[in-house]
Amino acid sequence: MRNLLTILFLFNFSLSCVAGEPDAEIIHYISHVQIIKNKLIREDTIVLQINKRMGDDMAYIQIPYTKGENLNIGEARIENSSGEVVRKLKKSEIKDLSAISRYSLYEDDFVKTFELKHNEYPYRVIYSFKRVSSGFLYIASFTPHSLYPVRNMKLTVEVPADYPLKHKEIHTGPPKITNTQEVTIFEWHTYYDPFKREEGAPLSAMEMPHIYVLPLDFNYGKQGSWRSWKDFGNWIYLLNERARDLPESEKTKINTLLTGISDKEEIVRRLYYYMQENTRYVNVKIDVGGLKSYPASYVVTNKYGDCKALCNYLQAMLEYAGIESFYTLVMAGDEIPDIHKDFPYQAFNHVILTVPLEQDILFLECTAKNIPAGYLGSFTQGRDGFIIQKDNSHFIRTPFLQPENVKCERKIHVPLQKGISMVTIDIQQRGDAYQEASFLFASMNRSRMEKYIRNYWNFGTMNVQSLDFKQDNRDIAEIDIAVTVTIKDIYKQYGNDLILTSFPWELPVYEIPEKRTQELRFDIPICMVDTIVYDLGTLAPAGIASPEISLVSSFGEYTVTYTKRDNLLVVSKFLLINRGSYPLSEYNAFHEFISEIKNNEKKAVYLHKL
Amino acid sequence: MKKKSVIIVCWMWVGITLTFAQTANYSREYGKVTAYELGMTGYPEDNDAEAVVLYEIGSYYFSKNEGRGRLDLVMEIRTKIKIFNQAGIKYGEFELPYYADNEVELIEIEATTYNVEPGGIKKTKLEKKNIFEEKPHTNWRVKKFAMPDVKEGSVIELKYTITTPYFVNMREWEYQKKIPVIYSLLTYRAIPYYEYTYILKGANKFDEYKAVELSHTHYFGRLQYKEMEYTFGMKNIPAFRDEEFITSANDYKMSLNLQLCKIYYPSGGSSLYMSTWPEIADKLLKDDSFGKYIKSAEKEGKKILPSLGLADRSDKKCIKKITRYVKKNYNWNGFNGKFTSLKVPDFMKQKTGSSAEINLFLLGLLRAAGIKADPVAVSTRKHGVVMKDYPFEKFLNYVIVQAHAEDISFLLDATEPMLEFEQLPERCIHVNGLIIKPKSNDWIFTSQKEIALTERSFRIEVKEEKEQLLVSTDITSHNYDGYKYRSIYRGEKDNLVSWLKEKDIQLFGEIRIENYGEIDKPFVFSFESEYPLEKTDQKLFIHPFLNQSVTENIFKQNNRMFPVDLILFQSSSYKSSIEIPEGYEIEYLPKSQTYDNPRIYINYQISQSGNTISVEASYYFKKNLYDANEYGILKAFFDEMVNKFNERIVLVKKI
Repeated sequence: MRNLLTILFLFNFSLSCVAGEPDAEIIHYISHVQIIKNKLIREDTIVLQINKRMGDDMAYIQIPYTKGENLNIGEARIENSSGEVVRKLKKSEIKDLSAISRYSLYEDDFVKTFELKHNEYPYRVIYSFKRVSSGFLYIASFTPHSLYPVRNMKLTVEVPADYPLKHKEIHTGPPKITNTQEVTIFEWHTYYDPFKREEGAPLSAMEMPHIYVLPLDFNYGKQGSWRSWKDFGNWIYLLNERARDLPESEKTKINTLLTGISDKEEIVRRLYYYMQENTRYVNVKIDVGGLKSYPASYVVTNKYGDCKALCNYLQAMLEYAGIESFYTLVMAGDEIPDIHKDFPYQAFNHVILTVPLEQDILFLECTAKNIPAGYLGSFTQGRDGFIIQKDNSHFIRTPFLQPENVKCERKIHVPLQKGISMVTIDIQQRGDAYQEASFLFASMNRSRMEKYIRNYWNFGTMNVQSLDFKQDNRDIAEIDIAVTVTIKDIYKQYGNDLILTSFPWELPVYEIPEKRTQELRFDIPICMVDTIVYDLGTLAPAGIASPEISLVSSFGEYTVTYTKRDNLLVVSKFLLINRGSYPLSEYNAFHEFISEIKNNEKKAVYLHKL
Repeated sequence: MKKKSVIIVCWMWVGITLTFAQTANYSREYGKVTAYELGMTGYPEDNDAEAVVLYEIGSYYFSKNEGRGRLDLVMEIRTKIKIFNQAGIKYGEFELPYYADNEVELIEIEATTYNVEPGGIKKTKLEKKNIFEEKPHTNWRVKKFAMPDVKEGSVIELKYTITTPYFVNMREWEYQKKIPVIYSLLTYRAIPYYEYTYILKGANKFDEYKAVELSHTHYFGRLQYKEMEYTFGMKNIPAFRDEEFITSANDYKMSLNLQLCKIYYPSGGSSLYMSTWPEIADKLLKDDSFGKYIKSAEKEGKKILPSLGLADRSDKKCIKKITRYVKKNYNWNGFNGKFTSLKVPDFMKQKTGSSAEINLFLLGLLRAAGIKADPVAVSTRKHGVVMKDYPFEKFLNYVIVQAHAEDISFLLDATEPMLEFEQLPERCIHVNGLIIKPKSNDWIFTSQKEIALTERSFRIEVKEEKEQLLVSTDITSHNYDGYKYRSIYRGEKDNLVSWLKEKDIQLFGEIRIENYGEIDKPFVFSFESEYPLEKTDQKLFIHPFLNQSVTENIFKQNNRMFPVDLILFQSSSYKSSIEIPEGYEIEYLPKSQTYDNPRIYINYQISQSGNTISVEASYYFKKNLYDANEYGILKAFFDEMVNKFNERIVLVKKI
């Protein structure tokens, strides 16, 4: 399911420009929206200023529309810095193309595009368009692009005097409201001055303005309402209520599949894996703005579907097996989103299935091929889910990934030899690393996997000799990777000192505290464990020169210990960074903590020789 | 519940026990799937294959279009694919492009998925409503569909027919794909009016080749003709797996290209599509979108030139100045081409255009200034190598300029303002170009003028009490490397900060920039950073180039199939000066060392003067293109270099 928010700005951005004079900026964005005879008419006029050649990409304008909408591009021109018209756009220069996202097979979205570039800076591109929609969920929605400034945004919404609507503003003020006998006019003014997002800062740190204007009641696919979350839930329910049409042939298969099984959890598990094994994710968005699910029969025939269709199909199977489950909307993404609970709106972009068990609730992600039943990854963990139930739709919280769910462990065996050493690395991946490896495992051929591992593991003179992926138990979200690499000159002797190749963890670079302006947030903990066993061979060192480390703070833990057993040196490393939010005032302490870890990770292992 | 009989289940071999025969039994008959094909769990010739093309058979011929009174080109293609595992399921999704201009190419599609189910074989047909149409470009559309019921073990059979009046659009026949192909065959029925020539890439000969005159006589209006049937077949074609350092996979993939070279008119006379290079040069010079555009640009140039202050300047200076003028004032829109689509006044108004509009405009201006200059048509690197034996105009897809001054000639391109004068963009470096002059068959090679070079210099100060190294770094980038770093910087320091962050470099203070706008000078940026000091009780271990020299081998493969194309001649050098801190003396210095061989030069020199240790290291690739069999040696030298450049200096406390 794609977020249906009307996108006001859709440009071809490739540059980041937040410090100093921006490459390009929007001087005026005037949007006037009217509702006349149940048609939504939106007329926008945009004055865009390109300040530098690097901002020219912004002068490639793309205006989206969807099937059933009528989009007309009005006059478009370039003005130089003295306000003289340099050139006007010819209608023949406008291209009308499909706009299908990379992850979709098809969407009935389109785009009209044109280009207005000049060679003297600054110059302005002034254009307007009019879009008429007959069915709509939203009256207006304003969200700027995160990278480019908007100096002046004016949004007016003009509706018949008695037209029931609601609105919400975030990081901007309320509208001025003017009433006449015939119409009510709402007028918002806002602006946006972007700044660069710092490492580990949440999206909310950007303080972007949002304006939502919604009709209280609408007829879009079905009659619906934004009056309450429950009403919105009922509308989604209505859209999909007839979609659970399992064909008889499928029912027969389910009967066979579940013969002799009575345990509820086991039934869910069997049906979930049956779906995983027999269907795949293919996104086709063509109905009711991508909010209506394809029926279960479509999945049965084609053995594919998008998140809605696959969830609906599994729900239909569970229903047939006598198990209640709920279609559950979420806003998927790496970051846990803030959902404004006081204002029902289309806050979601994905669907999962929720199954209440006696003691517990099972959350089922229906689009992933290899994950265990009940596993939610970083994309959907720890956030609000909206359960769709007739007259009882409500919020639920998905569980957080805990350190043990994301712990990545490596066991590295390193024979210390002159010349080439054969090093074996056994990795147990969990969390995101598990999902990435599991995806590779499922979707790539061996040569692509090898290429991935080569690029991931070939640092220094490492040379990957073999690799193997293994997921032993499909009910456990972990994957084992066994890699053998050769390394040349794995240790070096400098007089009485031996320097051994270490196997550092990669951690991001965080701003120095003097430059930090934004809060810090970890939505998912980080947990890594290494056991590196150096087989000392004939080296017979007298002692270990590298110091042991133990750091414990509210941010997490980091320990490094060295143990010499027989002819083996065992380096044990542990890193935990807790989930949590930290205000700017705590950043200094965090930076000290992370710098010490990073500095130590960059160091080799030192031994004294006799 | 909506009932639709969308699943057509045929119990084809009821009662068959699905223990399949072990001998390979493939069927090329449309609509027939063998028990062996359904039972395959892998392809013995390639254990890593996620799927295999069992056959692909094409038939190209001309068909009478009675309604329009003309002959249309028909291309019938059918293929059968076996899916082995999850990774192979993507071969059940198809995108079939077709051309739609004044007339729209007709495309008809039918396809079926076959699966073994308990009790028999299940056939699921592709439904028309699940075929979607995308319009990614103005004149091209794409039919897109995902086959139904595709899973591990499925067999998919697809048949489609394209009927088109655009007989120059005869589709290239791709023998080689990302998965192995067991059998691939194209038959082409030639008629006496259209003469095509074929170009085979990636192989020297066909496994199957036949040319037979068919006996049937065709009548169409006043025409009466017989067909000649050509058969081009290949067997057991290995999967084409991408490798690093390849510019154009199309140069290596096995394919057959059928090019229209001549049309014979029934009324007598003919027109040539494949001619000779001199004829192509002449034709381009007469073309409105090429030769005439140049003349028009020359005329406009006469009006512009007086404002450029060219009087009394040498020819070379004039060339430089005009090139700079075009680069500064006109933007490239990202499109390659040799033909212009705008007229000169429109291009001047829009200030933006394709490579042809920009470079031919430059040419016009140069000529207006009295400079001797000619266009040079090339094929960009991605477009593939030009085969000089096949004089087809479409094999040249880009145009640059050759200008002459005082007996020296310069190759020019004005699309990239951040490239120095005389530096061609990577897309058209090290390629052959045809100089477009009357009756010309003169070719030149667009060689790289100067090596791409980055110099890094480090001043390292040991801060023992803080356990840190304070490092001042200067990065000086020349030529193509200057272009690379200017493109990262783009006038915003933040862009360089982000780039350094990715390299795990934490900055202190501001970055300093030199020569960003002075393109003919090296681009320099300098900054301060801190590194952890590696030490034990008595000793300091200092990495002279920190983590900023070569830290990993760029050659990662264990085997190499294709030549290694580095595109550019490249070089890097590193210089470090380290102050020995008070109370310490040198315990160990790495040894100086040089490798010099026909492929690569590597140098590492270390010296001490008073309290300062100086280390200098460099390498350069002596070629830009290496044979596949040189890969192992290159990789081994790179390993040596990584180890050498990362050696530590050891300082010990004075007793």
